[in-house]
Amino acid sequence: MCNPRKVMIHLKKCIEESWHQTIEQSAEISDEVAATGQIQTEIMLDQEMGDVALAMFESVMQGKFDGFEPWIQSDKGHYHYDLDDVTLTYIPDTHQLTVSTQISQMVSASAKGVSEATGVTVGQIEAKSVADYYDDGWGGHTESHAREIAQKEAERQLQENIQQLHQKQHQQEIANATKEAKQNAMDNAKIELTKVQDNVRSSLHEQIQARLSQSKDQVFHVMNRMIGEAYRQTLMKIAHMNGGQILKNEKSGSIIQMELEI
Amino acid sequence: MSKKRPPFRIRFKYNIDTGDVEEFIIDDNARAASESYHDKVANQIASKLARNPDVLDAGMLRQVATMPAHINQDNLMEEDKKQCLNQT
Repeated sequence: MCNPRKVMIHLKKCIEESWHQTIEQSAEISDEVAATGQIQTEIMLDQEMGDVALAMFESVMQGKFDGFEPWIQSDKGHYHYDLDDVTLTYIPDTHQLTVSTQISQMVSASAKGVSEATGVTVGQIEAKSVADYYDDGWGGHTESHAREIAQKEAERQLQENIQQLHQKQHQQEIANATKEAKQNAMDNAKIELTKVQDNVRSSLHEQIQARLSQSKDQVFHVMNRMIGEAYRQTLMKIAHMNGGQILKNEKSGSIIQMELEI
Repeated sequence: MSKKRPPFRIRFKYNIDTGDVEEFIIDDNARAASESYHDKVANQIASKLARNPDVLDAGMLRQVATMPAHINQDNLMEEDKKQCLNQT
C-alpha cells in the first residue's frame, strides 16, 4: 500500500437551537456650547448729563469729532463698539450703556450602546476533514493520531458552519440589533454630552464674569473720554451760539480744561 | 431799551481718568445782582451739561456748579432765562 495513507472524518448534524448575539456599537457627537453674559453699567447717562450734552455725546459716538472712531449703528438705532473681548452697546432711547460678552466652545462626547439579537436556527450542517498517517506509524503519524486530528478539525469546521448558518438565517435580526445598538450608543452619547456641556457652561460663566470684571476700567475710560469730549463740544457750542469766545481749550493727558466768555 | 448784560465767564475742568468734573465755575460779572440771579445764570449754563446741577455760591468766583446733583428749579423764571442765555 502507498504511504502516506489518509483518513477522512465526515460529520453531519441537524440542529434546532436557540441563538443569541450581543452587538455593540459606538457613537460620537459634538455640539457647541455658548454662554453669554452682560452687565448694566452704572453709567445711566441721562441721570448725569443734560440734554444738550447727551445729544453731543451721540455725535461723539457717530465719529463726528477728531480722535473718536464711530460706533456701529444697528437697524434699531443702537450703537455698538467692540472693546477687546467685550461689546459696548448704547441705546439712545433709554441712554443706557450695556457691556456684554460671549464665549463659545465646541464639545464632544462618545459612548457605547449594546443590543441583543436572538432567534432559533434550524438546518443541517456538515463538515469534512482529512489527515495523513503512515501504516508503520513513521514519525508518530499513526492512524489513530490522524483520526484524532481529522475529528478535531471536522468538529471545528462544524462549529464554524453552525455560526455561519446562524448569521445567514438571522441577517434581519442582526441588522435590527445593530441599528438598535447604534441608537442606544447615540442616546448614551447625548446624555454624556449634556453632562459635558453643563460642566463647560459653568466654566464659561466663570470666564465671562472674569472678562466683564477685567474690562470695567477700560470701559469707564472709553466712556469718560467720550463724555469729556461731549462736555467740551457742548461748551464750544454754547460759546458759538451766544457770540462768545473761547479763551482756553486744552487737553493735557487726562485733563480737559476750558475757559470761555459769553 | 434793555441794558446789555455783562459777559459771563465759564471755567471748566474734567478728569477723564476719574470721570469727575473737577471745576465748573460760572461768573456772571454782576457783582450787584441778587443771589437768585447768580443761581439762575449758573443753572441755565450748567443744565446744558448736567441733568440736575447743584449750584453753590463760590463767593468772589461767583457760582460753582457740581454735577450731578439735585436742585429745585421750579422758581426759575422763564423770562430771566431768556435774558441770561440764548438757547442752544
